[in-house]
Amino acid sequence: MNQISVGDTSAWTVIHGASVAAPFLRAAYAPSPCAGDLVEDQIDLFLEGTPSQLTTALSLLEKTISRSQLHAQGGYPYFQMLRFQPESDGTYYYCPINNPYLTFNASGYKTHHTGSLQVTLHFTRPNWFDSDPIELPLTNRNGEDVTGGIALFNHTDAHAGHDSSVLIKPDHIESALPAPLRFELENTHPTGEVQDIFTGLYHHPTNDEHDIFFCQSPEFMGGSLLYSPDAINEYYRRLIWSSTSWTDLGSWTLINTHVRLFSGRTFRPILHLYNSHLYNDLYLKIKLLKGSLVLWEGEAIYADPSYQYLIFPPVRIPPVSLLNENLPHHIDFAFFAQRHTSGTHQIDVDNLLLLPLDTSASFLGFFTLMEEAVLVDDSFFGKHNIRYPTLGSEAVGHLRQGGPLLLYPVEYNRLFFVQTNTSHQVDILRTSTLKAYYRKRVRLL
Amino acid sequence: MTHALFVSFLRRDFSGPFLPAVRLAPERLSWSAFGGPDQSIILAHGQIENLLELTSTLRFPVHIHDHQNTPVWWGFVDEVIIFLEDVQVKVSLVNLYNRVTIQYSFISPDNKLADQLETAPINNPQSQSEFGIKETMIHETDLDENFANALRDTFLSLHAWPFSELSQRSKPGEVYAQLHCSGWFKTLAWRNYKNLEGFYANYGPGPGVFAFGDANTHRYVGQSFQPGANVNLKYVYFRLRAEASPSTSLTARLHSQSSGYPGSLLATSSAVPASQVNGSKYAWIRFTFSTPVALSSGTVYWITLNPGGVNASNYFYIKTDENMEFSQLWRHGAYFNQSTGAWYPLPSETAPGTKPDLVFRFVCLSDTGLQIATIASAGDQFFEKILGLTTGIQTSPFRNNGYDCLKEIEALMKAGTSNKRWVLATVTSERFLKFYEQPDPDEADVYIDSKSRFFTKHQVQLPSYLPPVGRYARLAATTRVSLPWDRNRIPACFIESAAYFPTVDKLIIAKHSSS
Repeated sequence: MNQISVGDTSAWTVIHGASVAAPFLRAAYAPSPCAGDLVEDQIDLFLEGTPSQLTTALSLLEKTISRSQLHAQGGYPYFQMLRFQPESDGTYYYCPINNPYLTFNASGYKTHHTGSLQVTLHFTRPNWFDSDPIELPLTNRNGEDVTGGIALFNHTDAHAGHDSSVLIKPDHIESALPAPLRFELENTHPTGEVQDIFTGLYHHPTNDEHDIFFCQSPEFMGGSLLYSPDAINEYYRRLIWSSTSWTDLGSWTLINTHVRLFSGRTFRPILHLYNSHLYNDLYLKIKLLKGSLVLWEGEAIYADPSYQYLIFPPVRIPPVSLLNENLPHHIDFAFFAQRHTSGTHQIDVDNLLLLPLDTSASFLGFFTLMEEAVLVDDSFFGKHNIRYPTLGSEAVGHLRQGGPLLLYPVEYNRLFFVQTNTSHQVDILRTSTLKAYYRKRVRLL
Repeated sequence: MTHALFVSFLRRDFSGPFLPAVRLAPERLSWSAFGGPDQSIILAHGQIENLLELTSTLRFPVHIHDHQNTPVWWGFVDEVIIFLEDVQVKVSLVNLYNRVTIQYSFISPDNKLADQLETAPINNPQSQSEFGIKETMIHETDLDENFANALRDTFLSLHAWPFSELSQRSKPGEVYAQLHCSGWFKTLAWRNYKNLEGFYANYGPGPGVFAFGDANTHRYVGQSFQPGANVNLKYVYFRLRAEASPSTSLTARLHSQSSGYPGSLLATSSAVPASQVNGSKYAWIRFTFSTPVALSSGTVYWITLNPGGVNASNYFYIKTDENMEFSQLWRHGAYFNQSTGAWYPLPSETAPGTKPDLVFRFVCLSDTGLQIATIASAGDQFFEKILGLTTGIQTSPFRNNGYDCLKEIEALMKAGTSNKRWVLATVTSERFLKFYEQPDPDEADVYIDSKSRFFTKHQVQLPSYLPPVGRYARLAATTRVSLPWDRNRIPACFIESAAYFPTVDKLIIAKHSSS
């Protein structure tokens, strides 16, 4: 090991190897074996120097401990970490340390004043080590392997540049374990502000296409297809019914090659409406059908009329595991609606996104994201905020739901975004730019 | 990561601080949406003689606060247990009672129930001035008056001061003390609640019936009564039977009193078709005042019944009570003779010349929020202020079950509000008792992550020792729960109660025991 340090990004203290300074002499570290996500671990530190140097070093270690405790309470901004550099000029790897404390060798109280000391730093750490962030080249129809920011639209259709997702190629993720993602999403739209943002990641060894996630209205079976230049792909479906019972409004067919690509993963269907509806007693639900056979039925959702989109319960596609010896059967993704009020009812359906939940996060805004403001989400630090470049400041503006966003190495990863404005609309012409970073994650240094 | 919490005491009369010569550390704190700070256990270490001094802290106010002096938990010392080497000593307020009443039944020589009586309450004023009034009503059967009084006096003598208990420890151990503390809300159980207003009734049993609506000489019937509090009349009931097939509609009417009989008309109930009155047997018939009518305390009122016409073949009978069992002594029934234009006392077959009552029920309603505040005021001994609410739910305020104020209030809290939500309560650190409506589940305002940390919707972390009890929480650890779409599939979770263990910084969310 070329070097081991302790501290945080504001200040590092080398405790082993290159550039180590008295009284720190060396460190002995044998990572504890563990199958779980958290490891109870320790590192032995050997110190030699004047009693004054030793006292200063111990104060420094105690400061690290107190900063870690303060960080846990939100009173200090940085993780306390161990930093490892396996080889000279090589990559640094970090692990946050929690619940740290020091113990001393039995004769420490004597040797402290004669110039040597052995102390053990005990701590809990994640069962992995992460590198510094590395910018990811991003690909969609606005550019290939773009760094420095790629353009996003707030919908995906056949028109040039209308992409709401980015692809990350397998070659660009060098990590032994799923790697934490950091993204920076800048609002570049001159009008309106962003309220909520939904993200999701999908990974697959071979699939680099986005078509399977977006179901467009021309392919919907049911209702009438209507033209509008303002609709996604310029068409939407008008679905009309009059029963007060649950009524089948129609379906999209997920062909068997697509079902195979969904791989039994879970998706959150987000249905975009061309127009908001006006009903305060409308419920919808999804059924996965094989012909008339119901393979899976979701819970009904209340279609709040103040929203121009509907989010359905997570659905696994296909709903049960298959042997995978043949192509899976195709599935009809069917919509059912119910209003208890009698009369003729109508909704205008624009498109459906199957938002992947491999790893995902929702950002529910209590501050809006104005033009040029940047939503930053860092799954390594487990923090997010809004950055205001013109003001040079940052603030937390969203309640974040979901776990860390992780990229799967040696696979195609696709990152999706859905942005809503303060009127609960997915304003489809909204634009933004995206930068993304990852940290290599390894179990063994 | 544990948090330092600090314990402080006030003297029993809140006059100033009490500084025990022991080391104190909270071991467990709990809160409930139905009362705020609920229970706590505080550990004390020190010299034996100083630990024993803690027995004098019963009913001392306790405050627990964090390093920034933010109040975390507050209440009073309910029980002290001193663990000595081999023995433990417990002193407790749990079985202390300094006001006692016996409710008893009396059996006659022929072994039949003769009467049900209540002794006068007996008090221990010294104990009451020290700890507050803590009353109990003991229910016994087959007693006479002397026996009941002796039982009451002995019970008071044995329970007027803190109860102590000596026992052996299961195995010798460390010398320390445990202070078991309760929240102030629990002190509402120290007083019983009775309200004989708002429900006026005479069930008879009679004898007596009176025909009316059969002739002008029997045009209307009525009953007087006198509320002892300001109430709102909603329903009146009479026991009626139809003769033949009257086709009229009946109405009940509220009058003021004039010269001892019904005077000015104040309100009229909704009409009840005569077809609803049974022709073969007497049944309770309800008359409803669509808008409750305000009645003033101390004013005599009459409720009269108008048969809707006179018909010699098709008319009504009403049950009367010639035994005059109605508890209001000077109130009675009457009938109106249209031929003379005057009201007369109802006739009595068994005791001519007396003034029989009708058999009736008059039901008044009030907002349950007002009732909660009234009962809380009746049970209040330690609160600085009581802050109520309007629930929009109207029920009878009458109470005569011998229940304590806490039980009565908890029942009303569960009855909820017109928004179909519970009434919640908390006691602030200033001892303000505050009742409020359970939040809207669609407006969940706290989130919990996978590490059991609570956040506000603005992502501000709440300390684990200040749990969001009485609020709705949602999971922040997953995107699979999203408002408003998942409100039926995975509703927000109401946090009814929580317990915090400071030594391990562990918060346990639990369901309130009474829900």
